[in-house]
Amino acid sequence: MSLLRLAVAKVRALFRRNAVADEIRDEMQFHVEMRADEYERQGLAPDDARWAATTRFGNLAVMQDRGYDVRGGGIAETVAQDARYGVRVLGRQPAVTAAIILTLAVAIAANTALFSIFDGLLFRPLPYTTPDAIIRIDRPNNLPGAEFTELQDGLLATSMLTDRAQVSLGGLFEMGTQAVTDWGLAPAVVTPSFFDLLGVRPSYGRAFVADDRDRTNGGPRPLILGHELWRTRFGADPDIVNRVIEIPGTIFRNSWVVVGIMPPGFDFPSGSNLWAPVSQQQDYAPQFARLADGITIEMLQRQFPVATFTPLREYLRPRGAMAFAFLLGATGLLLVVAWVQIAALLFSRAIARGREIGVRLALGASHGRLIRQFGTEAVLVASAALVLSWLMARPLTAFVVRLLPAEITVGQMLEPDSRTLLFTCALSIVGVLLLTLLPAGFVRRTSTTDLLRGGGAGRARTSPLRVRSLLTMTQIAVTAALLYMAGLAVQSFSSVSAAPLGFEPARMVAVRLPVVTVTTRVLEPGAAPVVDREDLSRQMQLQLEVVEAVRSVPGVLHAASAERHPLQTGSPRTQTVTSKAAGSAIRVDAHITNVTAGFAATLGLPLMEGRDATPDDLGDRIGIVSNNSAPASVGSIMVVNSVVLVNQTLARALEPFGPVPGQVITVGNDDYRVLGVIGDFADGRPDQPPRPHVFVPAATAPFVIARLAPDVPGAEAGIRATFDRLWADRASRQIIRIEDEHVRTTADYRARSILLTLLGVLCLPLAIVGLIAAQMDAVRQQTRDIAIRLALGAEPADVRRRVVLRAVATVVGGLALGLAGGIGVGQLMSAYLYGVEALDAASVAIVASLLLGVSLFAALWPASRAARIAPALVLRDQ
Amino acid sequence: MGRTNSDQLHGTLDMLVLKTLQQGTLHGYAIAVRLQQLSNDVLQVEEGSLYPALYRMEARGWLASDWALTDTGRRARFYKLTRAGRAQLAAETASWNRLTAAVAGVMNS
Repeated sequence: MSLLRLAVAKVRALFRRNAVADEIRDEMQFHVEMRADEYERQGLAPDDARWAATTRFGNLAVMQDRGYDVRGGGIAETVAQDARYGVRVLGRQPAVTAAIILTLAVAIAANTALFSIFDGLLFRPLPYTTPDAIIRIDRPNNLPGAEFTELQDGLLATSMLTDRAQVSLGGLFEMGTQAVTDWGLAPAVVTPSFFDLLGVRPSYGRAFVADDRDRTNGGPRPLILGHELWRTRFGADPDIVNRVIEIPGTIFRNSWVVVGIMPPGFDFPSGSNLWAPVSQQQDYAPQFARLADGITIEMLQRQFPVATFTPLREYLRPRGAMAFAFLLGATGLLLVVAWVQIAALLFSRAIARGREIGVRLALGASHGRLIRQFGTEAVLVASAALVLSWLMARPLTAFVVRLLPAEITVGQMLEPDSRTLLFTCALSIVGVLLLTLLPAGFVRRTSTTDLLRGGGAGRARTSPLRVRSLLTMTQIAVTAALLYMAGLAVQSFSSVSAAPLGFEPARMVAVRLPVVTVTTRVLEPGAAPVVDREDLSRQMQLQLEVVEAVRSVPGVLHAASAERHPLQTGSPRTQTVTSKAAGSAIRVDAHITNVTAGFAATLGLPLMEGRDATPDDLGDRIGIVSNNSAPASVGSIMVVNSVVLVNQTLARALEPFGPVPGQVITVGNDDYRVLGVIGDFADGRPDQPPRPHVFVPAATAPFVIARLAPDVPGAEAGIRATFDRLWADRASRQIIRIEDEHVRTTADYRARSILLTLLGVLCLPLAIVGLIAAQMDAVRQQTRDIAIRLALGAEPADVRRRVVLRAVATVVGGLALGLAGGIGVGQLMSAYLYGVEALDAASVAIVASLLLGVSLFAALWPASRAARIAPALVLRDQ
Repeated sequence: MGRTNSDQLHGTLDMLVLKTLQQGTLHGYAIAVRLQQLSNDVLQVEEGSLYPALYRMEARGWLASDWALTDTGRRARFYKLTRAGRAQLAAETASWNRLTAAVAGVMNS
């Protein structure tokens, strides 16, 4: 109880110092008055009595103070005192303090932003309700009709799944039109269960309800806006909920009513920023669902062997994300540079404050008390920086997320959260420790008399200066390492972007044809089912017509069909190829792609040898190429006449055994005669060398690829119209631009180079400011030495040169360390380099000359300061 | 414990104050008067230094205090022993007795 009262008294003392002091004064006053009364009773005159009483009591003021020392605020009070003192000290040099806090805030914010991204990408549970139970469902899209229906019904009916959600992209919008592109629309059409499945609620308004599917006929359709779209297009106006709005590119020319706004960062399933309910009352098979309690993916897979089930985590977090982990390390380096900067500044301040510290020590302050003083100042600086950085972290995160490839960041809600805040606080605590211990260590090692006499390091003590230049060297080293890595990344990006693809991606588009379904019929009871050839050839005919129609669209130069489009994600089919001529001497794994006549011409691939395939090379045998193990599923339909084209890489392997055209090769179990050799091209990613490739002439294939003429604006619309006309019910509306695919396949290189450059560029000014400050300090502390040298006849130019040389020595040391580190890291991340070695002379030269140049320039300032020292003034003062 | 000399001096004053409070609740002036009476005017401390000692003992939990009115109707802070204060007094008395017995033994030999 009394302890509680005491605590109350201490806290009260903190805020109402006077109240406690008054109590003490009253109590002592009472004592003196009582004693005076006593003396009066003994016969003294009132004045004498009072004087005697006071004398007997002792010095009232001193006693009150001593009383206050015990009864006053204690630790809490001294902390408050430290803080007040700290604020005064920091306020004495507002510019320096502001620079310190700002530097720190930027560094912490950058770390916070990157941490929240990497944490989100790699470690944090997905931001959805019980994310481990959410799965992605993929069906083979070439299932025969009956099996397709069976699977769909099965997935819809099974009790193993709950919260089934069906999602499609586009559909209600004319994608690719100017207005839609301007708005950056990324619409997703979803079932109302979509939001239940994820468990994410809109920040304003509501999610879709079952009724919303009925509101799709006539009148405005319900719509949910993404946070970013709402902010940029609707001025973040919360009153927009329930309002009717227009969205460009709306196919059915309907208006929309906003029912909700999603929280920031929500962009599921595909960088989406607008959600509309599925329009028909139809139920298709779900793409996403939640596993019912106690159900595992394995159980589901046994039940539906044809479909593929992927945990949402694996679906959203491709392994490529790991490649970004080392960037977190690089950002950590930025923070190291910032803290070192602050430490150096405060350290130099501690040196400059030597005299003040000496006075406090001489007056009896303990070292512990001084450490607490430094700690309090560090906490003041760090908390101001923390608040600022937390304000900066969110926009910075959004900025970096935009730089990253969308396929990596989608659906992760990459936003600073409580985990990030914790991380940021931990970083600040480390910094506070550094800022406290560094000056404290200096004070501990220096005697009080030295501090008092010379203002600390005034007598040109070399040790603090050496520490200072080591700190600066560290900064330069880290900056050099980051810039060097940025150099490697930028070169990799530019090499990979310029890497020859073997074709020109610009003005090349691809459209997926509707899936061909093979119908089988059982002719006699008990007999094996046979393919309905009539149905097949009808579909084939339709595909042929589409390709022909596309070819005749104005602005289309070439068109052909192929099993894959260039730079498509995922691996092509691979089979073992042997050559009759070579016997067992050749056995290579080659990619196999079905293509129609004109494929090479459409891609602009040169014909190296032999001749191209023509429609005449197709015989009349129908073959079915199976894409996967399921027996009746079909990838392409082709008419086989046992001739193929091969690419240059495969041709090089075949060349030793005679002219390549005319050789007979075995692909799988079938023999083919090689017709001709076409040029290599990048099939998957531009950073991978071409693989041996066999092109099998086919009548049709799943993608129509077209090369467009320059300056014919309507070509894409013409292709779309062709699809609508010929295949309106099942037509894909998505036109794949191969150029976009090219950008996508190099996006990770771009992200790495931008981020590393950003970090390097953030570090550079820190390092340079550090260098200037260190040299300034050195000059300030050696003022007397310099003055003596000048008095003894040294030229100002000599003085200047000495300062510049010292700066250069520091920079050269830092450069050597940093470049060695950068080369080491480059070796570790060689898998992410393209067209550049870990030891890259150009990057070394650029980084070295940049840092040397900038620091030479920076050193001129302290150098001219040193040269301007007036010996007479300085020496007289001493 | 590693107590310093000044701590031992404080300790003696502390012991005396605790002793005066053994009988009941007193304000600071009364403590001073009682100390003087009990020691037959031999012990005359600088009275002001009584108060830091009181505050320190209160902080250690040996004393509790509160404002109240004196017999003559004046406001004063009254101190009383806590349980910990009594234990402390017992311990100090025992150690004091040992010390004085030892010193007496030496002086009387």
